[in-house]
Amino acid sequence: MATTEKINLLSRVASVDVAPTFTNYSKVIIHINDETVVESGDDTGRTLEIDDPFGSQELADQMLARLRGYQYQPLYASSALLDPAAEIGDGVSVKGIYSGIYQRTRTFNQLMPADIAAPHDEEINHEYKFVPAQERNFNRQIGNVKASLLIQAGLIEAKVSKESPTGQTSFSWALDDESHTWYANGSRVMRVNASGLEITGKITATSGYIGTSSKGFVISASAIYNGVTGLTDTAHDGVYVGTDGIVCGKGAFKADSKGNVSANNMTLTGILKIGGQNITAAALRSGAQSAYGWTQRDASGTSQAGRWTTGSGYGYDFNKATKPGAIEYPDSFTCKTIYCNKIVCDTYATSMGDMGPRSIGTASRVLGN
Amino acid sequence: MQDTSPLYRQILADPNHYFEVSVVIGESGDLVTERGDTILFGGTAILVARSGPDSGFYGSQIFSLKTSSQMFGNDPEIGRAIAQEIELQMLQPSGDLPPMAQIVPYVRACTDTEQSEWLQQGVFYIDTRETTVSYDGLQILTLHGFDAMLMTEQEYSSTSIDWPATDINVVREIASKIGVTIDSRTEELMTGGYTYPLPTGYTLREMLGYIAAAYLGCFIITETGQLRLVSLLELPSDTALLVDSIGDHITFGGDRIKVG
Repeated sequence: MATTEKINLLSRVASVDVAPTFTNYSKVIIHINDETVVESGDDTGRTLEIDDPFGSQELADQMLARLRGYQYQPLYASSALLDPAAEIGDGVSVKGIYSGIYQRTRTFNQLMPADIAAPHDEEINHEYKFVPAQERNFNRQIGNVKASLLIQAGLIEAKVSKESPTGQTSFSWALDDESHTWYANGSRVMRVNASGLEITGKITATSGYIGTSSKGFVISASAIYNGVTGLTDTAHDGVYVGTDGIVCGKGAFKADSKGNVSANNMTLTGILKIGGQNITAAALRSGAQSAYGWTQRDASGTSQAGRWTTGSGYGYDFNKATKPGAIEYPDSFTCKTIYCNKIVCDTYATSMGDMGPRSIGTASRVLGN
Repeated sequence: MQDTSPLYRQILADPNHYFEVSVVIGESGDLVTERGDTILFGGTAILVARSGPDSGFYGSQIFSLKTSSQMFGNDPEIGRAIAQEIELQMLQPSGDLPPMAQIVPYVRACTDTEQSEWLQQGVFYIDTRETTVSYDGLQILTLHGFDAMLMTEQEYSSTSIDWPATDINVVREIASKIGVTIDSRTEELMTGGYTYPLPTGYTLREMLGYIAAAYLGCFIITETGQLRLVSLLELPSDTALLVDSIGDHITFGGDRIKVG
């Protein structure tokens, strides 16, 4: 029966490369799945790590118990005149160094030379556990990031999540036979299916179309437009909304970013405000009556603060049909100074002292010129 | 260590010993000359069974032959199941080699007057083949192959055992699925009695790896084509024993002699 043997090669090798014996193993880690890891032992020696979905704490404990005291001896021997009956796992002693045959490449000829090894990747067997700064930083960056990819017959899911002191964030997507859905922190943000695309949240685009390139709205970094190509374009009908202004109808309406507005026709149903003045369908109204010194009153003599009106019975008629270009006020009003070429009035108050020595009668009189 | 005869060990102790190599490919072939030309009998090729190394390719028919095997990668690991590889350059045989034909190399120890038994050196299956022509017109066939471990790269899709199953029963079923037997040392080693649920979605190779890890070892295919679990802890202790000039143990009444 074949046995596991120790073979003494003495010096029948072309070359030997030996590294220091590994320190004892003191810890076993079994990665059962992405979330579950079981450990046994401490960090006083080397750690053996494996992936095993069927692993358990009991298995880790048993493995460590058997592994305690085991030391791995790295060894490379080239062109060793090794007995062809030797097998993987046999022990081999080369120039006083004893190890196992765990790799072997053989050349079949009259000598049957073999390169044998108990391989290892490490240059130095560090006894002091040191993690370089770069590795430490890398570990810190990815330490709490987990990724998973699930592939099933009817579904593919991918998810990346990260734990941080401020909480957990995640992003994922799922593809099935009906739709492709994207999630952020567990909430749906985008879904594509046969009926189209649904997006929840912000959309940012620096180019593209809403509709088609021939009939739709063009999206650029600074504008969205259809037909009209820019703020100064008066050749095309359509609409343009950009950072420099808005225009539509071959320039029939235009408002630029400096506040200049032009329109062929304009109908307002509310207030048009110019500086401190409001113009409405019923009145030209002063916002600061006292600044102008007016005390407007209606037909009954009631004060109408800040009101100029064309209504009958009170106010001021700037363009009465019977007297074009004149102001006619049927009732009395008070003011400090009137600058004009001519005042026609039926009566006057004697308090208008600054009219000087001119005599004004009760009939219609002409003041000034 | 493979079993060997006293004659083999005796020849190996002779400083003038050398080795002969034979390669058996497929199950049968035609009788050829050393140049590979088919020997005809009445115009018909002579069929020969390639049932053993004595009827295999040897000597100048083989240009180069290498095998490589490993328990794990470039660092000590457990839970691996790695296939051995073979690279063979030889005279193009006259017959057709069927797809995935078996390649079995053998070696024996010789002196000018004696020859040992043939030692099997693996069982491989052709993966790729390439034919080239040498400067003197010889057709050279280059074959690359793997052992049966590569066949474990399939899902555990069917089973004939009860689950949960013990580790050794799982290994037996895997061996059966890939058409090999189990090395007796494996049965002796696997006494843990670990049980596993039906490993749906896992490959045979992955299952071998998980089972091997529990025993701190790896699975390999031996030189005789058997499935074997090799544990790191199997390594014989480093006892200093008296050896002869080639390293063989010197015995006294059958017992090895401990030094110092």
